[in-house]
Amino acid sequence: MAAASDEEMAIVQKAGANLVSERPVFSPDSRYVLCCCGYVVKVFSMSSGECVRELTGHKDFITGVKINPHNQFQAFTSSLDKTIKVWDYPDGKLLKTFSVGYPVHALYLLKEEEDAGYAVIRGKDNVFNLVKFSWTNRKGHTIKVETKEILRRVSRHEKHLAFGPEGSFIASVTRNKLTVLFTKSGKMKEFERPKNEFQCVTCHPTDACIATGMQDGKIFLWRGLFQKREVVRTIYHWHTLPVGDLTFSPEGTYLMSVGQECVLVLWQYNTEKKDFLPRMGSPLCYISSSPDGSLLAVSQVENVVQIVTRSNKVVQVFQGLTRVHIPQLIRSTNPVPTGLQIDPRSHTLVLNGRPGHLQWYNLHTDRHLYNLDIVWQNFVSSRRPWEAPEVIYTEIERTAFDQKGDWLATLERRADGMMAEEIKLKLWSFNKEKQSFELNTTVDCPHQGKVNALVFQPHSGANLPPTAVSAGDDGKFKTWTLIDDTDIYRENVCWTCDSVGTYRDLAAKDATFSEDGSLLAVAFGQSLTIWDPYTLDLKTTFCHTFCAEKDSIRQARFGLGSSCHYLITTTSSNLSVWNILSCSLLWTVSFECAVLVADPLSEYMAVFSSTSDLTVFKPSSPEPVYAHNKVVQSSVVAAIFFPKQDQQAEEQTDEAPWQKRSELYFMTYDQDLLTLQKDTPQQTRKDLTEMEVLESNLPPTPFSMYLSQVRPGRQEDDSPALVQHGTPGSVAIQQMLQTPAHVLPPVSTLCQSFLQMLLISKSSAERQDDEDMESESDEEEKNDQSETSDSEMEEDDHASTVKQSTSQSEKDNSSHDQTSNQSDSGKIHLKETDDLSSVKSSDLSWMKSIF
Amino acid sequence: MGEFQLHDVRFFRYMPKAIHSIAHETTNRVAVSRSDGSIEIYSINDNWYQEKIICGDAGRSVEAMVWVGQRLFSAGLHGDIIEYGMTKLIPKYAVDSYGGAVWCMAVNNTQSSIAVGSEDGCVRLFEVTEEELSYSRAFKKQEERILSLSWHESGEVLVTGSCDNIRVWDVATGLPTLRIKVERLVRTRETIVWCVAILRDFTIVSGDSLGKTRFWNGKHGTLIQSHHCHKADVLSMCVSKDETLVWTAGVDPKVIRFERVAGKDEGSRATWVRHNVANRHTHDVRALVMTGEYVVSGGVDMTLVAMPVGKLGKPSRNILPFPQRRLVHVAQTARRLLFQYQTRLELWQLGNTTAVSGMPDERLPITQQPVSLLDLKTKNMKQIVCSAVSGCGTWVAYGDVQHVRLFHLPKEEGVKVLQRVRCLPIDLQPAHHMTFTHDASGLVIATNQGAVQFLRVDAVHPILVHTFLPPKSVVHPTTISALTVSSDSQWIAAAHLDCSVHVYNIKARKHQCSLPKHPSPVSAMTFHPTEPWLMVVHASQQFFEYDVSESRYTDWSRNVQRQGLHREWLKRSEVVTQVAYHPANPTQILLQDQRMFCVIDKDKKLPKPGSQFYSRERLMRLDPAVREETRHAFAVCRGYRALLHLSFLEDGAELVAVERPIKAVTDKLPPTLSQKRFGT
Repeated sequence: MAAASDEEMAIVQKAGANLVSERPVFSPDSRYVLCCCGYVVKVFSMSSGECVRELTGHKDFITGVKINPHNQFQAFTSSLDKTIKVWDYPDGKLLKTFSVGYPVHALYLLKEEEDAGYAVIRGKDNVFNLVKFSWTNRKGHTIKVETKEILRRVSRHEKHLAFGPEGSFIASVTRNKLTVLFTKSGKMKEFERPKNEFQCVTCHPTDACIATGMQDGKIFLWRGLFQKREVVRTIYHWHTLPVGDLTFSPEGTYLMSVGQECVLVLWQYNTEKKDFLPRMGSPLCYISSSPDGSLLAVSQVENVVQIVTRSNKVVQVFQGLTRVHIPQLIRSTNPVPTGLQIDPRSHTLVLNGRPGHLQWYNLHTDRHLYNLDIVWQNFVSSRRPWEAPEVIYTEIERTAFDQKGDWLATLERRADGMMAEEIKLKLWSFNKEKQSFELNTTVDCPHQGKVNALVFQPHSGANLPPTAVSAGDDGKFKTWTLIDDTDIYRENVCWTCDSVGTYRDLAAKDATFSEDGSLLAVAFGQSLTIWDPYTLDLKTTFCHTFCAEKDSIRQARFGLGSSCHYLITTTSSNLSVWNILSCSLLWTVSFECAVLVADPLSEYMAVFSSTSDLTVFKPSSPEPVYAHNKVVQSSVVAAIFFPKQDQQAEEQTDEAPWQKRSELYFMTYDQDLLTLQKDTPQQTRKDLTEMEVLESNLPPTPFSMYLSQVRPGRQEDDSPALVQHGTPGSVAIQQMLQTPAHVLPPVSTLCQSFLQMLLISKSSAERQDDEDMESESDEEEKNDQSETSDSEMEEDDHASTVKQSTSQSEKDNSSHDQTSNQSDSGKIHLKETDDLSSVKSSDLSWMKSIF
Repeated sequence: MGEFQLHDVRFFRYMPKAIHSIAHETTNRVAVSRSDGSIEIYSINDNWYQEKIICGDAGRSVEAMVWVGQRLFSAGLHGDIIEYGMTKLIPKYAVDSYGGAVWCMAVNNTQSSIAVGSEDGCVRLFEVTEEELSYSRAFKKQEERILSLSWHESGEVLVTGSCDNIRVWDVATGLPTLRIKVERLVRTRETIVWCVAILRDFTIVSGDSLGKTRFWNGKHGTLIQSHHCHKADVLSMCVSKDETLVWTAGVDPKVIRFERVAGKDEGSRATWVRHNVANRHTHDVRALVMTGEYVVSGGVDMTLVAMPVGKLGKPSRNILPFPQRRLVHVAQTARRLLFQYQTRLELWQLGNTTAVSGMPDERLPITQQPVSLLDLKTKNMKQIVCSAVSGCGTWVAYGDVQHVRLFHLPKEEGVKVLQRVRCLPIDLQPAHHMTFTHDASGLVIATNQGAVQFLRVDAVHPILVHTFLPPKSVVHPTTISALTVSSDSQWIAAAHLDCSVHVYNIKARKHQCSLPKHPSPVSAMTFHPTEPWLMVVHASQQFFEYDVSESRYTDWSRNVQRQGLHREWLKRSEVVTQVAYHPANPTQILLQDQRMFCVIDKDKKLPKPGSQFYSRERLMRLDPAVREETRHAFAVCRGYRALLHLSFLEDGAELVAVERPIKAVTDKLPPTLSQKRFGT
């Protein structure tokens, strides 16, 4: 156990990455959208909305992605790791790496310059400069490129710089200044707006026209740049809030602007007409147009990329983990006041999302499931900074699920500092028909003042009505139970306040139930009180006498599993563990604790200090199981032990013991959902899509159609000869050896397939085709491994050939299963070998049917 | 500055009139016509000094004006084309348009012929000859009335705008060569082309009732560009000399500037681009004229706005709609005010207070309300050119374009009978300015022929004592712009628009002297109460004190000129409309324009070049030691919206300020085009 803590684990972002940190980019045929997403670039398919590729390889944040204007299958990415990489994005292959030597903050490629590009780098003296880099006649995979400075002191944001038509000029905005550099003459023009700030800039694709978005919501069109006279500046003013981003349609007839008003504005170029797409849902931060101009990608700050057609219809939505964006929460210490919760029914993550909404997010598939509107209030976009008062939104502060996921309790609060606080406790029941939560009971003002805890009582099988407990700053904790509310009109149940408890008029800071629900612990100031939840008898009191006077208890948690008799409390300076059986303090350490979470499936607990140090421990001993100093730069605001999807596979993986059953996810102040992982190559969902065949991006010319008819034959003839590595069937052997002996089926069942495998390697004629298929089916097996159900896999949008082969192999699978009488559980690796062999043994008639 | 009791008079309810048209002359003068048919002529070079006012007539409207050289022609809905005599400021002659009401008029580039578009749908050409205007010929008649027209630079092509149509005419044949149909928004409602212009490259610019500004190819009649910038009708338009800028304005009172932007290469087509939008007006903009340096606009809200063309961000200038001449006359001893409206006079007795002021800026309670003594309407609603009241308040005189009328208001208590003095001498000429002598024994009249007449006032039989003619060297005397008489009734000074000032001796009945010529016309002048000194203020903000008996500038004036006037004084935009000596303490001189007044103390030192002109409030807040340090000869009181008159009462301890806040005027206007504004 001590050994495990020595190993440093890497902080990775497995799910919920920020899609909207940079502008999304369309592929030239508008079939894919490339989004920068932390350290990777995600390639989304326009037709299915799935992430079909991830371009992984950068070691720091990616700051920009651009399609090579001279090769539509190549994408350039720039990153803070001082490199620019060239990818074959349909295949997800890294082609080249340009080493720049400085962190690259933005990247620009021009159609006119075939082997040169522009990048914004952070120079030596922390000044951002625009440089030109060229890779003429340089061979090799990793190339060190020379940079030539073009423009000093630019802004690092991509939207603060734009290139004119044919690269004739470069427009750069910094705070109050617009600088135009004419590339031919090298002359510069500067325009200052001392009382206004430039927010974004873009250039017309054909005219010498610059559009800049200003902080006061105006859009300036600068024209006549090449004339001797004064430049012509036209003002277009619709936005009231700062203009977020601007872009011209590729033909230059429209100017699109977005901002925090949640409205996409389309300005007809050179006329006064404008068109709107209102009610986009949340403030917009980026917009980009597809190369043919038929589609627009609009990024919203809540981590959504919407694809909009020119007829103002939303055709596709790429949604990540919704980010909280309302200013009152961003400013507070915790942007996610509900913390991270698990929906017990769907095993998904539940947390704050849109203003007044809860979101359900599937961490395993990295998919946003749905939003539940809790407060039922329209979203009003914020006011201008100088226009007080600020819009105050009602925010959900506490949520709780009961054990089975039938009930959801939410607590919302609106405090604008002027009126009385509006606090509502809402209880939602799960409707099985509609598969969603429905409001059952609303309690107005359940507590006077802030509510600090809201928990359901876990029932271990007892046939008791569900009970919830809330505790607030008014010094009360209240138990709420479900009662029958049936009258002559309908049958109904509703929640009511059952009892109220107080202790010495102290504010109740936390409440928690023991694992079996038989004890309720409520923290009052320095005292921790233990109550019988049914009778509300005060059983005992633990007093933190060793703490300083004002050091009240922040959090209290019961241990789980084998340490369920321990009670862990945190104060601002101490972490203490009490034994309930002996009613004594077990141990205490001085630790400034910010977040305390328990693994529901094991006895481990994790605690984050306010300086983002992570410690994993067992309540029984003060010895840390694992410690990681400074997991992130910013603070950790919430954390959760999230059960692994595949509980059976736990034995195989080479994980730390405390991460075997659950993974620890934590959310930082910047709303990045991170997890810890050993430095093994990422081995989950990400690779499985690797080999999916992307549809060809070529336009269907007659020749290509002819070629596609001819190609299958050619493939069979010319596909490169695969060399057999190692001993035949080595894969199967390896896997067989890795599988623990006690889960292996009898040797007799394995024997036949294993032998067949060895035999087939010797048949030479069909060998190459088999190899081909093998690689594909390999992928499918991995799919099987990670996906829980076959039906889910069916939904996946695979290329037609793969699908066919899948179904085929399944068929073979089933037939094999019948013969071999295997037990269902824990046979996956065995199944793999079966699949391999069955594919090989099957005739190739089905393949012919495809071609 | 000393301490004064100030009468803040706000019951002068003068209503200026809406501007209908503006015309620009090559010597940088602008003629502005108002809805009552009067025409004002401003000299831009002389700091927008209002040189002349041509009084209107009830039966005359001015819809269009044209300058041919220095000659001014106007035409209107009454169907005549009128040329004005620029010295006498009356119509010289009228020529019938032969087509009913005239909507538009334009002169060709060589200034040889005027094209007139009239109600019957005909364009008629008039030749401009040396003496008068002669009808030349008519173009082919079209159905709709012609609302706008524009000559091509070559003089061979004319373009007209009317309902639903723009037509391009061949001047030689009088036939239309092209007809451009303008679309209708509603099928039953015609689209009116209110303004049209043709550029050198045959680009036609049109503004119509849909609010669209459109650029057409004048050779083929194709639409190049259409800008829908205005919410309502585009009424007026002007084009810059180099034809790269176009301004439009209309019912939607924005003045929008379009600029021609060349493409980034030589070959690419130039486009017209909306530039900035100026929101200087509150109501319809009826007229828009480019004067080279300024774009001058005016309309229903009566204010004339001059926007500089060059660099953006230079402040534009509002010329208040009140005449820069005297509209208010004060009877100093009788404490009466004479208000001159367009067609009537009002005589008021000033209010009074018995309270004694304790604090500066304290508002004193009025114990005696002001009383209206007289409301005198002119015969046949003739417009008043000038008026005067004697210091004792018993004599009132006014002049219209034809006559001078004198009234006597006997001072006996209880008798309120106004007696018109009927037997005025037959030689009395129509007046441009008039003033009573200090002892009310004589009336000095500046005639419309540039002479000065002295009338001995008598209730029964007034006698014309003498007609002072300018010295013989002046062949054609110009209009007199200012007139003053000394308090001892010995001197008369008359300032002419050619910048000359002649001083006449009443007793000797001869021309005494002429002041040295200054390049800018005199806007105000007055005599010293005791000395034979004449204070002259020019439109260029310069002022001189001249000793008329010795024919030299006074020492103080020389000293001021030697040191040079302070920059802050010279950069003021308004022209000084009145100057007066303090009656009790003649070292103090009061100068007033429409936005501020200034008291110059001759005893104090002149401001140093770097020093500031602090307001009184600002001075009071300063430390006493610093205050004394910063005090200088110029004491300025700013912050007036429209100060029409300011003068001393007899003892010099009281001031009368007559204000007409422009807000009070604009509040009476019809509602503006309702426009949605954010947040309402």
